Amino acid sequence: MTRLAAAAALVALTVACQARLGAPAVPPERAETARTELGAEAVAAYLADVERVASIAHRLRAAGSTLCGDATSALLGAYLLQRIRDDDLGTFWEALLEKLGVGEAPTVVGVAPGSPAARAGLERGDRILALNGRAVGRTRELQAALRHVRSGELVLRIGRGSAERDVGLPVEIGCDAWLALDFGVEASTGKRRGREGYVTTLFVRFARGDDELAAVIAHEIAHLVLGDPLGAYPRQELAADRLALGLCAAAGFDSAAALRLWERWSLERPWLVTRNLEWYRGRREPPHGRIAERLVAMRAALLAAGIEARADATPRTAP
Amino acid sequence: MRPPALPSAIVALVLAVPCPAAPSGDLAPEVRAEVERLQSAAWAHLLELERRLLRVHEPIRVQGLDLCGDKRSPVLGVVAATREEVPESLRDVAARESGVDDAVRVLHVEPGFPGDAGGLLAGDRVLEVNGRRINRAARLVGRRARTERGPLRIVAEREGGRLELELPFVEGCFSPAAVMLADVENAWATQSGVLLVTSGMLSFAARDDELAVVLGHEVAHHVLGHVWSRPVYEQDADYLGLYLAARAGYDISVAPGFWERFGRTVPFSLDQRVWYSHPGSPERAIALRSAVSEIRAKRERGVPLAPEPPT
Repeated sequence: MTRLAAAAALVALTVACQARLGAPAVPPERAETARTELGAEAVAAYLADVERVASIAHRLRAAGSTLCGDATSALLGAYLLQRIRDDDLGTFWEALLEKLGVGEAPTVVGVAPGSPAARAGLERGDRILALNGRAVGRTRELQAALRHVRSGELVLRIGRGSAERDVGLPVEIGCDAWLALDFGVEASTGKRRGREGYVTTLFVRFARGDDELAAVIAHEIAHLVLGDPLGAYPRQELAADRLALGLCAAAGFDSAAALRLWERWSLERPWLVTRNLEWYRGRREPPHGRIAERLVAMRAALLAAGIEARADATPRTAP
Repeated sequence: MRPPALPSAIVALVLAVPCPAAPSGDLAPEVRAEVERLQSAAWAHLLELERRLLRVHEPIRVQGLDLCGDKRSPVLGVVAATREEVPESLRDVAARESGVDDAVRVLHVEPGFPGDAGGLLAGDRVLEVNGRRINRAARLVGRRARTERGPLRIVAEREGGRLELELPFVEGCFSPAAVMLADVENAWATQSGVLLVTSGMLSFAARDDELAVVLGHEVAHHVLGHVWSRPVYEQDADYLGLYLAARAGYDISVAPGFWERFGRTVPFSLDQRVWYSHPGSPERAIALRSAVSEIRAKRERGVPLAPEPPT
């Protein structure tokens, strides 16, 4: 008991002088080793997620060649990254960029199976230097150039290591929508600018299985294709949901997964269920609001398409 | 569930037909029904999160008391709320399904804690504590450190009748915990005296042992009187927090792996300069691994579990 009293006194004393406890010291070199190892594991985990997002996005874009109307482009099926600023990026991004040798040129980070990039043998780390003889310095320039490729040739100048060569890709037209995999503090999906959007790693972890992840990605592709502004209006949400269901069905995903996903998503975001949005009081409604209306509309659309939509979202339960 | 075998192109075309305009003004009946169904599920889910948090947290407070100095408050083992303490979008469903109104409504009573021992039941409306009327659940569950000692005399309403209960006095470390609905994996020991844990953290810390590591850390912040977060503080909070979790019988060997997984999943936490207020997750994992061995050795020698003085 005296030992305990002494410990209590010690804690009280520590509080009084804000002195440190006898917490174990961490040798800096051990921390650095651990940081490098964990950084490499984080990179591997991120690349696996990129591969998944790129594959699903490619399947959806390829399936939407008619559904997406005029908003189409030639597809690569490659996820690209490039170094824009030379800032201090932190352990993770430095490890990622260094591992793949990402420099100032758009660099392949992931390849969707069966995509034109995959069929042409593009690999992680390949640098894209030019398209049909015209140099592309930025990913955005490449995206713009792909919009004008309708048929015929698609030749990329590729840098691999110190070698450069031209690679011909089959021309495949699909929805013009580019999705980045971001980190963020919310399980969210959104628009950047033009036809570029993002989905966060939190959302990738939240979605159960590829069908649910496809529902999220298809929803964002739909917004980009429909040209919705940042933070779409509720009516645009319904239109995006509808196109997303079509894209999922056309790509062979289970369209009804959207119901399970958005219903479970609303469990911990009850302010999105209806119009009473305490977080957004006095402002325009947030994107993805009014989940109830969206679910009713999606269920009706699926029913009309002959897809039975069971409302069987299982709540996430504590272990 | 896979869609039935329909030509996918046909399905896609039917689905892509433009939809009718969204209803404006009052909600359509089927939308109203959907709103109620979703809110009901969200309310049940929030209560489940609160129950889990309480179940993991209260033992840490009770078992850690003698490490907590004067940072103490009564432990009740109760989840309760007034209408105002419920997230706005859930107030209607909370009223409808759990009778939450302006009075303090008991929503859950954890077996084996004073609320249960004193006969409090879920559904009770608590009107008075120690002769004082209360209009906040925070007054009941002791979010502010209390100087009064001794049993809690409670006047409550049950099925229209009035009853007086006496809850045994059990003290624990300050303070009670509550759920905050947010995705980001985080927890805070707030100055107002409530320890907040996000729903994102509750998902990420899927094992109760992991959640206990997070809760021990936050209780330690209160105990150590940390007002601002600094890497040095965080290190001490990790260290003391691990002792707190160990005393409550949790398997603290999960702690280093938990912060490593955090580092892999939230890679900004790898760097102290990015994760500005905290040590990088590698530093935390290494320090925690030493602390786990230290605690295990004390347990094997039968020595009381108390942190070491500064060296």
